Amino acid sequence: MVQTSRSHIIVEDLRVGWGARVLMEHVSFQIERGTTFAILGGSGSGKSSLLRYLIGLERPQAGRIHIDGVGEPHRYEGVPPFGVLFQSGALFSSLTLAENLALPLTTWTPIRGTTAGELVQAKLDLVGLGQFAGHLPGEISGGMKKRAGIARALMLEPDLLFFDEPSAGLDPITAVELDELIVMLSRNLGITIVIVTHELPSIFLVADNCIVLDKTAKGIVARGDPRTLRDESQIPFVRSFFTRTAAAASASQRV
Amino acid sequence: MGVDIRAERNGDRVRLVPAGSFDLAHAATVAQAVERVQPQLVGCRSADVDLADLGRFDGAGAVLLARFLDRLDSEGCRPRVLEGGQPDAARLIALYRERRVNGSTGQARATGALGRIGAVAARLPETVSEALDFTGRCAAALPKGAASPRSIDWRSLPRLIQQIGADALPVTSAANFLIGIIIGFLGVAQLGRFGAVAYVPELVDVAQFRELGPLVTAMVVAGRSGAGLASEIATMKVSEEIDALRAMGFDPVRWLVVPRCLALAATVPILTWIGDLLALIGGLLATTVMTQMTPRAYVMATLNAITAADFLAGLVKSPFLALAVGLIACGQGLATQGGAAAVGARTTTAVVLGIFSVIVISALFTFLYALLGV
Repeated sequence: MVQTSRSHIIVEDLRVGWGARVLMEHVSFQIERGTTFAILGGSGSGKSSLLRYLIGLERPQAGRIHIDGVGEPHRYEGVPPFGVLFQSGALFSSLTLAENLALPLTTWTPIRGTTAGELVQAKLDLVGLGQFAGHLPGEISGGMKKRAGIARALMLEPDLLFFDEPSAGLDPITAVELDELIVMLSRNLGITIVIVTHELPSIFLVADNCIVLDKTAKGIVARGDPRTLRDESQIPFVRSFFTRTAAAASASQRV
Repeated sequence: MGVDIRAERNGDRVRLVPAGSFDLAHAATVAQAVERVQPQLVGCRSADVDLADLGRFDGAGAVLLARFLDRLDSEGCRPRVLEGGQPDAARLIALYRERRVNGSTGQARATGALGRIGAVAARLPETVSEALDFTGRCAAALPKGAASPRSIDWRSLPRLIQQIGADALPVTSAANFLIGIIIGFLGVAQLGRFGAVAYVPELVDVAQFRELGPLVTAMVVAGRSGAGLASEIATMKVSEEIDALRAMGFDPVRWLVVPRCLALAATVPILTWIGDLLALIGGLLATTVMTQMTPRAYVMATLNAITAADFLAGLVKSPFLALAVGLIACGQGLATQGGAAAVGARTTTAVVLGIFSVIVISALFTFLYALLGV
């Protein structure tokens, strides 16, 4: 694989699975710094599993993942080098939003007091939750939890963010608001964003580049600009994925 | 690289030049630099902030500079940002200034100790009312369940009996065995002073069968099974499984609470009975080791001392203690609201209340037996 100076993440010949069960293999791709990259695929294709490997929660069975400035994520120790938004937001239910955001800051930096308060409040303001700092996660909606999760992921000023199904389970308007927030973060903060999703509107709005995973092929079946793939791909599964037609997809799965 | 904000004053105008690393790693020193420059800005009407000398810069630096500029603005010193070849930094500062929410403090939940005590006191009538309501619903569930047996999850009963009864047997047995040894040692030490060691078997029988057997067994079950039941139902509540049951037409009290309470009421007396036997063995061991009494003499004295009243007095109260543990654990589980922290808090409350109620009910029975002359 050609490695460019702008590569932020490089995945080479990765095999993902548990024990003898191989979920996907020969997975190779790279993500350019400052871009928004989508990992796409149907249910069970291994999108979220791949994300777990990218953020270092799992050790690859074979192959290599290299993140610029981090190395192999599963070996990394120390201040978390990237932010992660989990599907549910994964806020700590016993802490207020402000306390949730302050946790990584006070754990990993010596910042305390007014300065910490200003940084926390600024991040909540950034995601539109400035007036909910004293609320518990149980007192806010699902979309707000995800936005608070994004704010927490930004607390240590990472240059890389991972989002797992950010708009899943949200109404269309809240989902679009969240997508717009992601675009705003990408444009203004210049960070690399990796999104796992199967929400088509989100993909076309936020993603510069993508890979499409297929559980039958046990790997990547297409890669590139999602709009180009939608309009020009000759692969039945990819076309059906982007045009939401089930017949072609099921035909492809049977092959 | 050091962090500083240079101020070049010209009448009521000032040129501010932040220099160095304005990032998260240097946030504390950036805040100090902001503090240091403040006195030089008194009376200024406008400030040009030149970003040309900025080194490393990230969102944290942008936030601190944005708040600094906000304060200047509010004090009548109008700030103007000069990009100085750093358009990204200027854009970030502008972003954090635009998105600021006025009046947000983040202190909404701060409450004093007196306030918290008041809140607990204010909730007391509601808490008592909820407890009575739950007890009433459980009492009503039995006849309703008898009329409609399919509304109770009978299939879970064997599993629950296994979890609450058989799985708890080692720990309740060990606890009762040790209690028997303790009573035996105490009896030998105290009665031995009066040459009344022959009465130690009777002391062990009475204390264990009437009081300590049911009490210790129920307390161990409250700590072990009560916590398990409370956390299981609490987790079901926060993950909306209870709502799903209701939506499908099941009454959670009949479906979940009744089988658990029945399992407890059926198994705790058995655990108590086995515990009583082991306590007798513990008493025997202590007495025969500490005195000249032979095992045979101890057994004969025990058989002579045991009365049906002692045996039944303990076994009668045992199901009531079990029901209290079950009702409290299930009630706390069903009352859970919130997330993982609420599950932990309710489980703790279930165990504390369960143990306390077991002691209170046991004392009430003792009082009742004394009144009845049993």
